[in-house]
Amino acid sequence: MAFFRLLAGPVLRRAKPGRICIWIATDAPVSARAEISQFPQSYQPGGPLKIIGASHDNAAEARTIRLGAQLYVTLIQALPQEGAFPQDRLLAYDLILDGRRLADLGLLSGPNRITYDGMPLPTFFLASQTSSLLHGSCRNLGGPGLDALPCGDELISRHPQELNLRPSVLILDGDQIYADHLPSPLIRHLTQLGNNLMGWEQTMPGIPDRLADIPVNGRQDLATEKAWFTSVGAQNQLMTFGEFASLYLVAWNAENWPESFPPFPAEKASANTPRAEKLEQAAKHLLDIAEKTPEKEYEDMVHRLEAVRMGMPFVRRLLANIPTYMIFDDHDITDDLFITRKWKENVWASPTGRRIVANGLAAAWAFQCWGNDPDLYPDSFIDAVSTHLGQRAADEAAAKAYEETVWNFPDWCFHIPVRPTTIVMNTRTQRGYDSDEGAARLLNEEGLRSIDRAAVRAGYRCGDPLILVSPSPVVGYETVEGMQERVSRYVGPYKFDLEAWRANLDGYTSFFKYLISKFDPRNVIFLSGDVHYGFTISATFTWQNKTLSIVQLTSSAQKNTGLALRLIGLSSLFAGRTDRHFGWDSLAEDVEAAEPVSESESTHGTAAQPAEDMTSSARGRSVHVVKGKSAPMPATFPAGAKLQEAEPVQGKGLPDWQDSRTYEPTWGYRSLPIVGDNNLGLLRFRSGNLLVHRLLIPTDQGTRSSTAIVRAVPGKVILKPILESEPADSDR
Amino acid sequence: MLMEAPVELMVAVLGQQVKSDSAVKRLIELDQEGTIELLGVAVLAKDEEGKVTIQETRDLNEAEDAVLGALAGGALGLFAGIIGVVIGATAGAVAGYVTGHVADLGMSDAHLRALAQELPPSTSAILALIEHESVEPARQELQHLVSGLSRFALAVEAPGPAGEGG
Repeated sequence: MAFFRLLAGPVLRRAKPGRICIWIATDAPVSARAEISQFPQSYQPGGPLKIIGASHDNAAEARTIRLGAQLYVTLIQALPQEGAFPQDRLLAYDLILDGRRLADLGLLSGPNRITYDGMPLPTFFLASQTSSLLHGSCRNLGGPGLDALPCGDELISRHPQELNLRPSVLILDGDQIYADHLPSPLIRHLTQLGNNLMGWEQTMPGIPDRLADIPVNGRQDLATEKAWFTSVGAQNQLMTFGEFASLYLVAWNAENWPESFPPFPAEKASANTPRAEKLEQAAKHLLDIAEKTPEKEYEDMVHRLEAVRMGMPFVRRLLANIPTYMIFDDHDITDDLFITRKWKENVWASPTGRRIVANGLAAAWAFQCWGNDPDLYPDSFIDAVSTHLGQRAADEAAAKAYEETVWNFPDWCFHIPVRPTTIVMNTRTQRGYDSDEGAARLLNEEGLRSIDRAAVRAGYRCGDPLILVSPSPVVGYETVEGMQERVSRYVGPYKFDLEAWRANLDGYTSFFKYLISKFDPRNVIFLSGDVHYGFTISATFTWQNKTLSIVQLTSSAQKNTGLALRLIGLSSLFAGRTDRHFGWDSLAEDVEAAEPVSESESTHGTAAQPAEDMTSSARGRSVHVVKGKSAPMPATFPAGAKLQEAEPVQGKGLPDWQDSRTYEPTWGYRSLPIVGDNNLGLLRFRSGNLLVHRLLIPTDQGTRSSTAIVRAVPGKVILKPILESEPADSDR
Repeated sequence: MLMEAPVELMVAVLGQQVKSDSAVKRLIELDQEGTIELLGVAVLAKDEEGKVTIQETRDLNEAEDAVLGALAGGALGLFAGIIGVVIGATAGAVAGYVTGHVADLGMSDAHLRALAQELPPSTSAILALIEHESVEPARQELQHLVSGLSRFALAVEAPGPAGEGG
């Protein structure tokens, strides 16, 4: 009997009292079943578990999609035997694939073990109220620094049965793979693996060459000139569906890695160095830290990959033991995806670009999104994908339907079945464009309606707290966002990623007004990534006498740090602690920005936040925003400007809106507000409306952390005595 | 339903002759080992003449960090190492992480003054922001060093006025 091969998984996906979803990828179709078990209250290792739910081997409860001749993805959906799966109880699962259990597949012991000490099976729990969660983004296998994703596994391994300390959900909020910026030692392997998975040698429209014949590092020109991409790190841009699928398999399972990486290829191609990395290397060169030839660079990349390989079993175990939700961002397909209207139109007009984007989005669906909420994807969508991929791309009509269906799919946004209501926003494919190359609104009207629908499905009630996942921070680090905006005036929107929320001021303010008017939440927590540094910000947005209380938690990158990012972190020591903006709703074509006040006046606050409200340790800085015609840049000047001073200039009375963002200090490995090291975020909800945001940082000495404590809602924090001083050991 | 636990401020008065840096170092080691989750540490010290100081801590143990820390320290008045320099007496403004949080998060200068007054000369107290679940293992680890221990739960008391940031 021929056995199938488990290519990736199990990955625990959407999990709620009514249904547990488990995703696997195999090289052949399998009959798949799952059993869900409950631990007794006092579990002794080796003791029996009680089976409380299962899936059956039918299309409804174990749907398999054929994506290639040797690539099948299956979503197994286990249902409770009675009522609902219990919350706040430790649960476990086993899979039966073609009659073989996880133990038979070698996953319960040995190097591929996906269980924690003392646990007979992979475990998880359904929290009635989220007490702690993990979140992170930007995992570039070839990026500098150590991989932070295994830090999540280490955390769970310490507390497998302590549900008050074990996080209940993992949210990966963008750039789970880097389809551009691909480490050069991987490209040949991915092309070959992709062809094997699909069962044929894939080709790309507009590219006559065999992809296997393109030199390593030789795809930049194709990406730029054929696909109209703007990534400057596209030397090894993934193109075919098989290549995209292969990178997911490599990112999640070391068994898909080559036994060793080939030596530096004899053929020479264009330099393999993205611009940002060149800058970093130049800086290092100046510091006499390193000088990199292409060969050395290749060797370094191999070393980085080998370091990632060491942690891969822990990544696989983590994904098997915590309900995991994912949303893609640009690098999951290519840098700058849909950044401007012109980008989108150019790439759609290019047969090569159109197909690459479709392949990247289809792979993101199969590997990331399907398990978020399988009910969101109608058969017509799945059929369009599987039909095209099953026909070796020879059918033009099927190819057209594939591209149009995937490009225009409206419902990547979804809710996570937890409390507080948690909605994961798609800020990539439903953007609004006010001009050809101006900064986009990250959500257009349809995008906002997607949130509405998700909120309805989640049963959200106005006034409840709300967690929104946005790949890009809604409230960002002023110093960098301001620099991006200013520099982009001269170099265009692509080189420095002009796609922060606030880069389109209308989009930014409209989003907050939408949140206030539609949901009026008690408070909002944004979970984000993208920027390659982590931080905690307390913020507010005030409009029509309502103030939205905001906490922005950002964890990035899992693996993509660098000297430049560490310096950004260091810059936060010198930035002000609080930044403020204000502006008017109506257009003011004749308005000029207020003159900057002198630096000597830049001490305390604005009329929106009187000086006496600021702590003596806070060095204030304000930003004055004057609304203009199209995605205006904010005019900035140091703190001290009073709202009243703006009135004569504006002639429009008090501003219609104002915001503030306060960078929370951290303690630990980096005592900086902005942390530039690789990290994975751990959020703990504490009693008394406090949040603890801990950035777990992998180091050669083990996991370290930088921690911020932040109020979930505004208010004075008090200390309540728990017990009085008590005598300790008497012999001291 | 899992109960949300508080963030705590643990005030551990050290016995006379006990070096605060060894106790702090042990707490940080426990945090790094994953035994406890420490959210910040400072040391309140009273010398033999009754002068009170607060020392902030950092967790620096890489050469590279030392470089960055020294650079940062130039701006903050800190230097690299487990124990930073004195930030200020309790009567003054407190700007360090723990003391800043303690001030921001509910412990007024008056609290600190009162605590300092109770402190015998030549002794010190550890102010540790710590997860509730970590208090017991931390206390067990420090019990032979500590002469008294107080615990406080941190909580946001009431919503601020409209427009006030959080």
